[in-house]
Amino acid sequence: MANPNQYYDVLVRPVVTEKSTLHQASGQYTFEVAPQANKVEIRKAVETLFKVKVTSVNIVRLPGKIKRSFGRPGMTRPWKKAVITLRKGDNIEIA
Amino acid sequence: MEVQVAETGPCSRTLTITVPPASVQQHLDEVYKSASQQVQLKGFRPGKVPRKLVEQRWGESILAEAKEQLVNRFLGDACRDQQIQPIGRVSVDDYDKLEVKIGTELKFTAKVDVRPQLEIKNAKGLVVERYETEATDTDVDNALAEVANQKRSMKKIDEPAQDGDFVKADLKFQDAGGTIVLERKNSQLNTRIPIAGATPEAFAKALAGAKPGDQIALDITFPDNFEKDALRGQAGQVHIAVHEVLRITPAAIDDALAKGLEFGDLAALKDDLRTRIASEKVRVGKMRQEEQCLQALATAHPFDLPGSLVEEQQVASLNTFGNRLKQQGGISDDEIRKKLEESKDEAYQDAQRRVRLFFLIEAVARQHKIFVTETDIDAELRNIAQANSKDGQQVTAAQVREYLDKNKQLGELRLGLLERKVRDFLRENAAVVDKKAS
Repeated sequence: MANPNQYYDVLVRPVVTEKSTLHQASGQYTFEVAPQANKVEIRKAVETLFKVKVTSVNIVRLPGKIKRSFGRPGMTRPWKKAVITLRKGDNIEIA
Repeated sequence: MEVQVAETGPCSRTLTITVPPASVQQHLDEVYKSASQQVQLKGFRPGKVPRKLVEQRWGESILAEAKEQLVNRFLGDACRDQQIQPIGRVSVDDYDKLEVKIGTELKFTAKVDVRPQLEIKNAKGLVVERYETEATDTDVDNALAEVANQKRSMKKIDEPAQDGDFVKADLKFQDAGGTIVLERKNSQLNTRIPIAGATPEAFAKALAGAKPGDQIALDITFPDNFEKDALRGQAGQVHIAVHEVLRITPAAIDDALAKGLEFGDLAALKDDLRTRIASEKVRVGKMRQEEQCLQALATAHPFDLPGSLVEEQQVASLNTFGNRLKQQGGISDDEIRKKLEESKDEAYQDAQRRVRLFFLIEAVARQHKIFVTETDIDAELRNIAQANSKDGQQVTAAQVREYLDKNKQLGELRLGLLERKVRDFLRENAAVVDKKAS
């Protein structure tokens, strides 16, 4: 069995927004994930850490945005978002 | 809501209140709805944070607030339903252990104090002693002597020195071998304050009867702070060469004294003193009569006092006393604590007296329909404004009202005016008898 600690490196944080909260009602949970993580790793991480059954994983890469700070242009960091759909009846408690 | 009331004393009631689960739920829903509108969370538009998230993040503090609101609301409703008018502090048993949960009832027990049942039978015709309204010649003479004493001065006299007099002298300090170690010219000595190193008795005895030209020798022990280190603690002698004897003498009671106080002559000063003494006698006499009336009422109408109100007054007066001691300075916190501990009984007695007075005044006002009107308040505000106006800076009644309102002191002012009106009423309707010869 793989070391469960490695899964904590895959899932960075849950994304708690108005939209993601709305999706929870239909069994879809949103996480920020490691930039190198693939769908298989994300599925395994969620299933192992939350003891649930994942039916699908959708990934989206979000590029950094150009922001100005003190007149100088800068970039916010790029990140990867995963929307995980759980088997009907399963749920995750996200604070 | 279910309320059970138990009479736990003449002025105390215990209310056991049970709030049904539906009311708790309804209140919590309102509280969470209002909280959801107010909280701001990144990722959510204002007012769009789901209740579940609000519960998870701020649930504890919201529930604490909801508990306070629920207890206050239902205690207020219960008191209104049961026609109880609480006074003073309200205490809820095990408030910290009370839990507000959705789907469960809220049951709590509150102890409240209520006003004593007090009916004044007759506030008119209370017996008081007549007071003097005129100043006697003795009063005027005593006041004049006091004024003359305030204008006292030190004068040279041709008499031997007595106890309390001052002596101007040259001092020569000699060691045991007779060598002069220190000289002081024209020192002013008081017969009651000895030279350092001399005993008070020996010093007073040495200077008693001293007159100009006298040479007095006095044995001393050089004090620990003597200028020459080597002589400290050693025996020696001081030689006092007396030049003058001085005595503190009150000013002469004459026209000069009166003129010094901006009066034309002594007669004018006497007239002024007579008027002042007479008005002070009237003021004190009126106050004494009012106290006699209130004392008579208190004796004729014994009643129990609400404990919490007395305790509140006691704590307030002890706090004031403690703050005053702190402001004076020069006293440690431990000493302040000790003094406060010693004053506790006295403060309690005083608090009882004040609370009793408050209820008596309230009862008399109720019985005889004495009210404080807006006209009374306006007049008082004008008086305060006038008293606080200085040259070039006029204070208006509106400004005083605004200040008092801001500091929540208008109620106190109203209460003060009511007390004054009741006191006047009692005195004006009292039966005056001649003072008993003591």
